[in-house]
This record gives sequence, C-alpha cells and structure tokens, in this order.
Amino acid sequence: MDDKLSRRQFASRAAAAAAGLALGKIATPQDAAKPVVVSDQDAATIEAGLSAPLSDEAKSILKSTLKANREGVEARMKFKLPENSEPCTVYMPTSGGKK
Amino acid sequence: MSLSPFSSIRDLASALRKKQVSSVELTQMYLGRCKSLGAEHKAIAELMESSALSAAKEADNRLASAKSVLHGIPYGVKDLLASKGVPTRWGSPGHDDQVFDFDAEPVARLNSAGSVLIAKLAMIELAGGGNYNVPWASATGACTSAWDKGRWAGGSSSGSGAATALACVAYSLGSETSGSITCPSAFNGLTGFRPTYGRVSRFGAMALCWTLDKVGPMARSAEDCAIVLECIAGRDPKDPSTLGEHMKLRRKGPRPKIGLLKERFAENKAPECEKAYNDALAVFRKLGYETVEVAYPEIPYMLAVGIIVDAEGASAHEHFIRGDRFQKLADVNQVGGFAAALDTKAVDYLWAMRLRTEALKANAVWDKCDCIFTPVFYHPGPPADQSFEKTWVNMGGDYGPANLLGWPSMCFPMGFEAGSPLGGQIIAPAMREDVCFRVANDFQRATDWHLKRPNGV
Repeated sequence: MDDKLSRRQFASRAAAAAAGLALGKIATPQDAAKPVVVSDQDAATIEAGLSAPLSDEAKSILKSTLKANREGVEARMKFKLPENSEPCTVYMPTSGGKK
Repeated sequence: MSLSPFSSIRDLASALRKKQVSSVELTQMYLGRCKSLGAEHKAIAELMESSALSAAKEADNRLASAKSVLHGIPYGVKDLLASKGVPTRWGSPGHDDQVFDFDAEPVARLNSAGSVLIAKLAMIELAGGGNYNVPWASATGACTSAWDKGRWAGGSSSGSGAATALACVAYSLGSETSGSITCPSAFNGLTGFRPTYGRVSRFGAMALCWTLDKVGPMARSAEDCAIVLECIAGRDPKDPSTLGEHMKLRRKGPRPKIGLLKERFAENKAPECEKAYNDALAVFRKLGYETVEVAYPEIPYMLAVGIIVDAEGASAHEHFIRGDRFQKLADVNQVGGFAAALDTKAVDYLWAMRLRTEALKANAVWDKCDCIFTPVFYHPGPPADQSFEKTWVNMGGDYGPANLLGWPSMCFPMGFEAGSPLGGQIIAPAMREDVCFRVANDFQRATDWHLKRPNGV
C-alpha cells in the first residue's frame, strides 16, 4: 500500500494539476530533503491507544499515512507564513454570572 | 401541465394546490421509486415509510393553510443529518444502532415548512474523513450513478446524488467539507448548491470538520435548489457558526462578470469536457455575460484542508476511533487513515489555520470578476468496482481556496462523456449565493442539460 497517495499528498498534487499552481515553490513530499522514517514503534504507540490491535493491512496503511503526513510537515515548512500571523480561530469571551 | 417524478418543486406544489395529486400519492410514488431504483443503486440508507405517510397525510389535511411551496413535497436527506427516532448511521457500520431523539435543524425547518421526509440517503462512512480509497466505503456498499450502474455516484453525499437524479425524491440535502456536494451532483447530472460556510445550521449534522462543514440542497434545477436553500438558511442559536446576514438570492442588477481559471483539458485528456465548457461559455456570452481570465494566488490551499480534516475529524470521532467498533468501518483505508490522524500535531493544525488567514488574499480575485466558472471534474464518475488509486486519473477539479474560505458554489450539468454527465460550477465570494444562483439559473433557462434524464427511469 506504500504507493497509495495520502490525502495530503493527493491534495498537493491535485492542487497543482487543477489550479495550475507552480509547485516548485511548494515542495511536495517527494521533494523532501531528508527521508522521513516511521518506525514500527511509532505505529505501535498509536495502536496502543486503540481498543484492539489493527489488522496487518490497516497497520500498513497507518504507517504509510504517518510517513506521508510527516513528509507533509517538511512540505508545508517550505511555504513561509508571515511572522506572527494569526490563525483564523477566534475565542469569543462571553459574560458569566447572573448579573 | 403533466406531472412526473421529475417535475419541479413549483409544478408539484401547484398540482397539490389544485388537488390534482395529494401529498400521500406523491409520497407513495417516491417511496416506490426508492424501493426499486433507489435500492438498485444502493442510494437508500433508511426508508421512512410509516412516518412519511403520516406526515404526508398531515400535509394534505393542512394544505389550505400551507405557507411554503415545499408543503407536501417529499424529500430525502444524507444520513449524516439527525432525524428524530430514525436510525442515523452516518454511513458507518460502526454506528448501526445510532438513533437521535431530535431533528437536525435543516430537517426541522423543512418539516416545519410541511415538506415530507421519506428517506435517509446513503453516504460514504463518516463522510470519508479517514481518507477513503474505494467507492464501497459505506455501510450500504457502493452507491452507483443514476446514469450508469457501472460508475460510482460520487461522494460523500452519494445517495443524495443518485436518489435525486433517479427521482426517488423531489429534492435532497447533502453536505460538503471539501467536494461532497459538488462531486455527486456532477456525477449524477444534478444541480447542487454548496452555500457559504455558516449559511445553514449544522446543528444535528455529523461533524467532520467544524470549520469547513456546510449543508446544502441537491436538486434537479437551480430554481429548486434556491427554494430549498431559502427554507433552510438563516441564523440558528444552536449553531454559533451560523451567519446573521439575511440571504437574498433573487437580486437584479448588472450581469456578474465571469472569471475563468487556466484549465488543463489537453493534459488531462478531456476533449469532451473541453467542448462542454466552451459550449457553456458560448451560452454565457450569448446571454451577455463578460468573461475575464483570473488566477488564484499560489498558496497550498488543499494541504491546509487535508490537515484540518485530519485534526478536526480525528477529534470529532476520537471516542469512536479509540472504541471497540472502529474496525467495523467498511474501508480499511479509513481505519488506517483515522488512526494516523490521531498523530496530527497542534502545530500542524495551527499552521493550517494560519494558512487559512493567509489564503484570504485570494479574495483579491473578486476585484476582477464576480464569480468563477470551472468544471467540477474533467471526467464523469469512475468505475464503482475499483479503488480510486487506479481510477482517479486526470480528473482535475477545483482545488483552489473555495472550501477553505467558505465560498459558495452552484454546480450544474453542462454535457456528457460516454453517456454520463459532466458538471460545471459557478463559485462566488462568501455571502454571494445570489450570484451563483443568477448565473446558473440563466444558463438553465437557455439550455436543457438539467432536463436530461437517465435512460429507463
């Protein structure tokens, strides 16, 4: 299953194909400088938080998806966000109490 | 006027008012089609025969005092929307006994208008949030296109697409996080209306992504979609994300200017779609619409969408993912994908949400045009019996900022490839559903693509 595209990989490629983006500026996981290694232990740690062991196939998909997602971290770091920019999450304070 | 299962909402309503047909008769007709055509295409998650007939009888009794054109009209909803006392399984084999004791707000509004809910419609399990890779990633199996049982109906609002195109219902509701209304609408030759984020209450809808999910109508014309959206839109105190702005769909004024993205028909081997697109453009120009070439800023929008889906989806379904029913999911890719999503880091998510702020620069595109016309996909739905890694090839599609920024879109049929429909879409700025509706409605007044029906139904 290692040849499967994760959503993040797919999204990067699809964005390039559909929107005509120049992905040279936005590295795809394949362009990552350092190979990302996902160990059996990484997958086992997640599996330990589930109620039952995963099937071999699911475990294989978990590992390949983890690898792709971690490669995606390197890919996203190639896109520089403005320093100090804010996420589009806003906390709306609400008054409490009876008055 | 001759009535058919494919009649418009206004024609059905008119026939009801004139007592040419009763709501009970309409409901029986559509229930029958759900049992035959709907079942053949695996489009139905739960038929609500008993409650639907009761509601239809009530609608007939109250016809004289009806205030809505939707009064007495049978409809279906994606099985992601709660409906009181009826199983709402979210398409998931792991939620087969889930029943809510309340209606989702869009369902409640339609029911209050007198519309008659007759079926919960099939969907991809958990709206595909775990990165599904097969058309049969659903408790009900692979839902097939109304036009070709060998092709997938699209997802994740699969049943809403197929059932509405097969006239098993007069109209339906779907939902979209990233493509789940537009995709099945295109693959089934429907008109689908993805509203602005926050336009329709998500109360009682399964959450995949709180900051991306939208509920919207899927119907057989722009006018039908508009009627339904006008009923379900509006502020809801139970969903703090709903917008306070009043939606006014039917505006007049100068024709909107249509923006055109750089399309890649040749490299995606899509001559049929290219012809359909150019023919549609010719129609728009004949109607007096001006066009202008536009481009989005180069920002990795879809990378952010993927991270947001992972983070919010894993959180929304964490209890299920860590529970003992998780591995009942129909697609093992969803099991591996949701498990991996638990590993999403806070810094990943916040990067995606910061990118979303940066992506607001894409609003500059509206300095040049009032809406964008682009194909939904370059080809019809892929085969229903193969995984997407083999079949999702040269599909293209709009992977710009529209979903990330909550922009509305109306998609509509504009041609065919190998006997299956191709869809185009009009994307507009946030809160400008009126532009989507006006342009798509003008197109449908000048063409008859939306009036084409699958053979033999």
